[in-house]
Amino acid sequence: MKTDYRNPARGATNRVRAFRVLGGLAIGAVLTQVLGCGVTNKVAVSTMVPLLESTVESTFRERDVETVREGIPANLLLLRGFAEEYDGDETLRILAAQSYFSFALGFVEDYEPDRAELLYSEGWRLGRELLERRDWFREAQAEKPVPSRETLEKIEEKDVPLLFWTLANWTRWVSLNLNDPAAVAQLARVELYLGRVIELQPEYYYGLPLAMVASLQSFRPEMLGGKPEASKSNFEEAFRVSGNRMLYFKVLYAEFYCKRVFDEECFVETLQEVIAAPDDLLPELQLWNEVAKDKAAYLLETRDDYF
Amino acid sequence: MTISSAVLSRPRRSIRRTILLTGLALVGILTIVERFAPSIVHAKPKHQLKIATIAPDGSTWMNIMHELDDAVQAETGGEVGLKFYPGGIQGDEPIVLRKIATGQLHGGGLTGVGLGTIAPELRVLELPFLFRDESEIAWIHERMDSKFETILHDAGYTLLGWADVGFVYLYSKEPIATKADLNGQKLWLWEGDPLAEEFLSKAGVAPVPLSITDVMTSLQTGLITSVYVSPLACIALQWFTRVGYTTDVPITHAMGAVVVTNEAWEKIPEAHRATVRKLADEYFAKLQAATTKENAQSAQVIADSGVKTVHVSDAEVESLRSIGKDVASALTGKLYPAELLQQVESELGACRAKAGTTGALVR
Repeated sequence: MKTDYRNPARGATNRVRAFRVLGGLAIGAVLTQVLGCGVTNKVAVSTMVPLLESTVESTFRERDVETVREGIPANLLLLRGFAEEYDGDETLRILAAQSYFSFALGFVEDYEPDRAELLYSEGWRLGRELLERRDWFREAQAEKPVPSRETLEKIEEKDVPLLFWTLANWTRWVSLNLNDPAAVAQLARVELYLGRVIELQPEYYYGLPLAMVASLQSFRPEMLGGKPEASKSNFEEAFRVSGNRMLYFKVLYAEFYCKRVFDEECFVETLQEVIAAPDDLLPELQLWNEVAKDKAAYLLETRDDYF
Repeated sequence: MTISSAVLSRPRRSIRRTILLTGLALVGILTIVERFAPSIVHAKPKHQLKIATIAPDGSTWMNIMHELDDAVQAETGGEVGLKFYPGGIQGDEPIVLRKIATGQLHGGGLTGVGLGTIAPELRVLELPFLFRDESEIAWIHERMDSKFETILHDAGYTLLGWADVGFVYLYSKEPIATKADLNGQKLWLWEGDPLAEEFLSKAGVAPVPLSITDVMTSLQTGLITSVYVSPLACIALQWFTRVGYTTDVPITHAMGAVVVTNEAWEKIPEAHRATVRKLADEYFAKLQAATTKENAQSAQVIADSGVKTVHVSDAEVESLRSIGKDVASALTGKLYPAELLQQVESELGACRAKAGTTGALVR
């Protein structure tokens, strides 16, 4: 069964179910290792993938940030192990890349950037390895200095989930390596891929591709190719797509756009709006909104660093 | 990362929130607040120099400036600090200079164009084909910095340190190997830069004046066919994705510096000024070395991306150097006095005599 990532709300929400899922995963992992034959692998992967999907989904519904902060690292290792074992399984690769990105962004990057860089690097690798099996990606990567329009047009809507979560890790990895010219040079390539994702499915994951492009457009100074007005417009479109329920988009808006235009009032009001938002705004992605509130408070506390 | 952002950590806030949520007694909450409050409310230095730059946060430029700020705060007991506004959030150089004039900012990390606005004489350091390698630049700084600092001081500014952009090369859609090739170009001119304008005029090129923000689109549409920029900036601006060639001879060396107003500088107690000066010397030297290294890395990245390097013959180099001399003469009395140019040329002659060369251009 393929997950509808635009509608992660599915199934039971209680922790008993989550424990049952984890138990199932552990048993499955042991079975796979002990038996290891082709048939068992097929059975195991068909059992594992829905369980892993459910686990990731229930994690995003979690309200207690601390539980996730402490619990995710072990699950990341498990996900990575499965993704590597069943290396052709697209859903596993998507889940792994998505989980590495989300954990690094939500819990690690602000206070342990070196560790976040490693996590993004892993998420990027896990996505890239499967993308490299697709003709258009190999072709695009071989084109220098950047992929041609013709090659980019070979990317189809079905490619969006794997490409997007790979790009999410890749983009953040670059942003943590601005002291490396080789990394900075990759931004041009990343932006072209991201542009294609937006052409195909701007509303993917509540509009996260739009918010990501908007962040990049504000991240760079205007003099270095930044586009603050386009950034604002893309953020507003992301807010619209998410029905104003994805609070992390507002955090990115404050962190990138309000800072770029040096508007302290915009910065403060946006973050205060996040903190004051109802707790049950987006139950299926409760964790993102909890993390957004946490980060909003952190940015407000450190605002003197910027203004 | 500044001291304050390093000291603050998100887990700390989560600890606070968790404790509040579990409804501990008021005494317990107060204990927690008292325990963390001193580090959360980080004391602002008594003397804080507010400095704007175009360099993005996370770049080597900003990382080293944050290190300088940390060292200054540590060695002045938190009395003096440098607050940097990165990534052009305070506006481009003309806006930054206006904000400095009104006192909103105390200084800026400026390129040659910005520095030339406040002290045109400094542009003597950016004359085309003047410097031939890094050792010549170091030689001039060692012998003439006190002169340049006096020029800046008379213009109302104190030099914190040089932060050069580096050697500047031509990047083009078609190969440029000769002066004749150069004449055929639709070459970008950074509008408002009198030095570049004079150079292009003497080179016989009809320039296309544009702001930096319009260059990328103009390369795409063909309005311009070539640009001049340092390798590191060529990557940051993504111009390398729109050109096919670069020449192996730099047309100039672009300077940069961090300056603050004399007024702001002199408000800092004298003993602390000496400390800041000592630390600035150390960290700006580190920045200059890092920039040189990153420019070399960038040139390699650009070559790896498929941009071909065009060799300019020795005869053509001489022809280009003669343009440099014409520009130097033409701008004498306009940007700098004849004595300053003569002193720079004389020092360079001494440098080359000591090295036993007539100067080989950086390639």
